[in-house]
Amino acid sequence: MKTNVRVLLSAMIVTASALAARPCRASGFLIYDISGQALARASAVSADSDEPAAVWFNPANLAFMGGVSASAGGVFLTSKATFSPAGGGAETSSERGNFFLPSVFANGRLTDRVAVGMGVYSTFGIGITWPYAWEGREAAIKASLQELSFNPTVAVLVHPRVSVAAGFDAVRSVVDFRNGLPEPIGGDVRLAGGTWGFGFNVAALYKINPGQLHVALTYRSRVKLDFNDGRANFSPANPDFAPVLPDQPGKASITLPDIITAGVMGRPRADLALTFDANLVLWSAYDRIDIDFQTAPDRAIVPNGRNAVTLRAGADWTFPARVPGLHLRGGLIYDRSAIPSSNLGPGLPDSDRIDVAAGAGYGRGHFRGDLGYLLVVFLPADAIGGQEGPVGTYKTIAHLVGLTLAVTWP
Amino acid sequence: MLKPGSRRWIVAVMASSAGLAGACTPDVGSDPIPTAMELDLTATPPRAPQPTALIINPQTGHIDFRLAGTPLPDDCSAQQALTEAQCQFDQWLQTLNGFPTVTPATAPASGPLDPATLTLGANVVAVAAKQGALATDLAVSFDDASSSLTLMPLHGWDLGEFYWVGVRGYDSGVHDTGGRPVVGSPTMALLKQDDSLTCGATDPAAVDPNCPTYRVLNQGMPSPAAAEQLLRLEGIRMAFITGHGFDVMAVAGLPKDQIAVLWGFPIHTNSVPVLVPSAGAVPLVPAANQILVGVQGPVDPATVSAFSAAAGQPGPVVVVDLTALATGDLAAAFPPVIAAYAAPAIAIQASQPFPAGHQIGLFFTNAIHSPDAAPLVASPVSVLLTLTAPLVDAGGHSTVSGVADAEAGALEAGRAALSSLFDSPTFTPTTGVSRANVIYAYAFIPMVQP
Repeated sequence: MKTNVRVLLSAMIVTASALAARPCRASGFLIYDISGQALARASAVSADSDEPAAVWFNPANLAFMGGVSASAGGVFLTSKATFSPAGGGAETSSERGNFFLPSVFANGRLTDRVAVGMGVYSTFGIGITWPYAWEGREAAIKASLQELSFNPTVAVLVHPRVSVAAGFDAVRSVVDFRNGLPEPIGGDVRLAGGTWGFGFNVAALYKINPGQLHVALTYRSRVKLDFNDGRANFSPANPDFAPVLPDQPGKASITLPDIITAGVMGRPRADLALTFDANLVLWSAYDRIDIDFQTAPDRAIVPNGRNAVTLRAGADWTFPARVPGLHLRGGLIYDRSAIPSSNLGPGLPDSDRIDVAAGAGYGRGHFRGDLGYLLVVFLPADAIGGQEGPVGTYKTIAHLVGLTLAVTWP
Repeated sequence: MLKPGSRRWIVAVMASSAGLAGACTPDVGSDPIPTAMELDLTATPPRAPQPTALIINPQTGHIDFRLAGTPLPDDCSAQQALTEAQCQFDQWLQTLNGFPTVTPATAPASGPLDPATLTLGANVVAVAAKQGALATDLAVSFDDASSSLTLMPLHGWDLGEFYWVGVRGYDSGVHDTGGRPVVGSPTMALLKQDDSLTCGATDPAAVDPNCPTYRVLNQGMPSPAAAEQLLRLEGIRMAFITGHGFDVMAVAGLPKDQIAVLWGFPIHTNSVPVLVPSAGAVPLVPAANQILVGVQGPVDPATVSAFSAAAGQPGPVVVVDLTALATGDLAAAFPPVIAAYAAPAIAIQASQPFPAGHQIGLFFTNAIHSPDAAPLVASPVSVLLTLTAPLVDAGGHSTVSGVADAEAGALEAGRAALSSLFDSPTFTPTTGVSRANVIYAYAFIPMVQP
């Protein structure tokens, strides 16, 4: 039986890898909500996660989980942004982006005190495409950053109520940007590359009153992605510029930010768990991207990212008497923009966001399914700098639907 | 403590990771780099068509290499940037109000051009602007050594004329040897713009940072330099417009949007005695005692007379029997001759045939004028023959751009021989001919031509 489980896990990981190898894009940069169960609770689950996706949210939870579990699923994301120029004029809409972000998790106990887990998932991504000839074309026509993390982790029960965990992150990332070239050159330049980056994570969970009151703290390190093998394809509309803008190598570095999360779970009633998480994302690491072309003039993107806090509140109701195994969930998120107005551009039209989550889950025997929905309302964001893109206002709406199927062997 | 069966899981994870390592990276493709007609005024030295009116100083009306960013020193022996011979030759060019009539027009290309597409009048268009006529007396070729399109005037550019030369590029124009269309340069693209490159600014400090062309230039150079370069290009663009460069090309069938490179240049106004040995333009010897030297442009006959040693009579036409001079026979070294102008040549008549096998030196000074009292100017070969610096280096290579190694080698022998003459303490005081006033210098063994 154990052999079959491992074969199943292996197959799931291979499947996830294959899915991720396809174009996979997401609007926004950090996509924290990657499981159907957590998404329905606004991902406020660091102090109360009993699913394999705890590898991402707080691996210290793994030490309290029994048996062997595995889950597979994904988040379907659809989003669309609009831009209204400051001086008036026609509104421009990005193409509607539809993305699927797969994830696979597994965990198991090695001893009474030690558990291991593994996750393959995507939590950072940019994916937006604007009309080719729009007024912000020099800043972005298409921006795509895909990421897939491989995250093995170990959790240890250091006290009957306290667990800690540590993990390693291997991050594969691929970028694909297309920007318009300025007049009178015209045309565009496409820059793409792939690289690996590495990081780590640590976590702790303290069950002050087990099942009633938990607190959690996690940290995920920044991951520097050095795209040293990038390739740029210049396609100037005016052929006279082609000889001085040959296709050539390019280099750039992007740093995925550190994430610090503090969470608490309280259970005012036996059938209701309330959770609160606060993420501090150190977007100040995402301050400047220097694109170093071999011969063409270098280009700098200056998002000037600032550290941002995300507040999450979630609720999980159960009905043990009437419908055992059923969970109804809900949540709210307030997400502070990581990019200041002075540096806002169309490649990442970030803004403060208010999210509303809802969902349900049902488990029976070894199996469980969880479905969640998240409405992401980007509050209107004014771009006032004029250097990173046109001056005006961005508005975005995104919908996320997450589905996770899990299996557990006690 | 993983159990043995767990290895399969680990192997699967590692295999998936390895497979993913190369996944997802998009192939952005790669386009071939087109061959271009070059025009880069920021290169040192500039990579641009020559000759060009861009180095005519509007204040002096003369050639001025400072405008190309390569000022010439007063003392050519005290500089390293140029060969000494090149420096001396360029110093002479700076005395002219236009380019020599025998100057080849060249336009550098980034790769070899297909000679079959270098069709004069169709893809390569030269227009004599003052006459408003196509220049057809030209040989068009591609010089592999310099990677340049070359237009050689078969009988010299017309004195005082201004020429525009345009090269048709793109699909319907000149192609490279790979069969691909030749394109223009970024600079030419800017010069073809219909609107002001400076967005109306006339001062570098007043250029709007959002001016499109400024933004383009500013990506490749610092702001002050970009603004200055922008104003310089705008000046050239306006010169193209006011000089009707695009207009004359359009009339000649080459519209602006098909021009890969365009340039213009004036020819000096002064008359010039013709001397181009490589093209057979040398003194004619119709009789054993007669020599004719062709002159391009009018000459005031009253200013043409021969030097006579015997009579102690000065004159701008000096004939020297170099063979006799070498033997110390001063009486025979200066044979009695008369000189007169009979359009289109200066005729030299000796009282007796020139001795067979003797090398004769001909020298004219700038005391010969055209009817408007303007002195004749030297031809480039005469200048080269009178330089103090050698025309070839130790490796046998030419030290003057535009002069082939073989031609430089041939001229160097004559220059060395004449140099000893000019450097002698008696020649200039005796004849009045010096490096400063000589406009024609040539040594040859007269052979009567049928």
